[in-house]
Amino acid sequence: MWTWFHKLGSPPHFYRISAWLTPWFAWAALVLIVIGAYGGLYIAPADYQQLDGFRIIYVHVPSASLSLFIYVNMAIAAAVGLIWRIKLAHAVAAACAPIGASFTFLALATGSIWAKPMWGTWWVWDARLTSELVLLFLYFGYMALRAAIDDDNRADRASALLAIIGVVNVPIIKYSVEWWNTLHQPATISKLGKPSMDFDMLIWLLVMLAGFMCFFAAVLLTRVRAEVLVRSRGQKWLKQALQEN
Amino acid sequence: MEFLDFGKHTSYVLSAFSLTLVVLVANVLAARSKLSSRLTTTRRRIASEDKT
Repeated sequence: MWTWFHKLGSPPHFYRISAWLTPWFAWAALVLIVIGAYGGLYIAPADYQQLDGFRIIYVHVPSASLSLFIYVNMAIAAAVGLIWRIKLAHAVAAACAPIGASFTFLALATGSIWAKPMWGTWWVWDARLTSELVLLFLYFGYMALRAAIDDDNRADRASALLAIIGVVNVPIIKYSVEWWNTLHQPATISKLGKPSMDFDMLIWLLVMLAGFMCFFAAVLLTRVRAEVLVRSRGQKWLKQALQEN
Repeated sequence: MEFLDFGKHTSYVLSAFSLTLVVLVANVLAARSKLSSRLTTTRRRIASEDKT
């Protein structure tokens, strides 16, 4: 396990393995998202209360789940980089931020589009929405901090601290619908509880979620490879790897 | 165009799905362009190092 972990932390090994893995994740994402979107739009039955408006769930929930998942990944990578001084971990954290920010924006935007016909308003300062907006600002803050510091090592350390401190917002977002009275509905899929959706609706949501996960993996690997190119400046293996391609 | 009809919520459903498509495509393009620009820069730097 640890040998594998250390091997993956080596830039030459990661650069090679990520080049091989990226197309697999990309194609899996494309297939799953197309199937999930088709199933969600045309096969899943309409909700008895929200009618066809509920179909927004097939893009809103995967985006919102990914916005949290990516932040947790970013914080773990930042912590690994900070504790074990693995440079690749900082590259992973840096690559997570723009992807996470885009999914957080998407979760807020699709949520807002869904809120208008259901709640009669685009936005309310409700606990779930506000904490998700804070998450977007955390991503922006992380990227701004990295961009503001010229020295890579200092930028890595400072942004890692911000990522780790900001992780406190993740349980707040997750449990906000239980801790406070909010307009937002409770969790649709829960690990411990029974899902609040019928299986005919749920299956397409799970397919979309799997597709979004594969999409994240493909984009993350591409972005980390770009980071590795800069961070491995002047190293022999990089020259060999580029000559092989 | 019946397949694009989602009753009274058509505009909301289509705009949410379209926005998702735009964000996904933008993510792919941004990541690919970053990788290809850094590959070009790295190749150029290595070539100039080899010359010197």
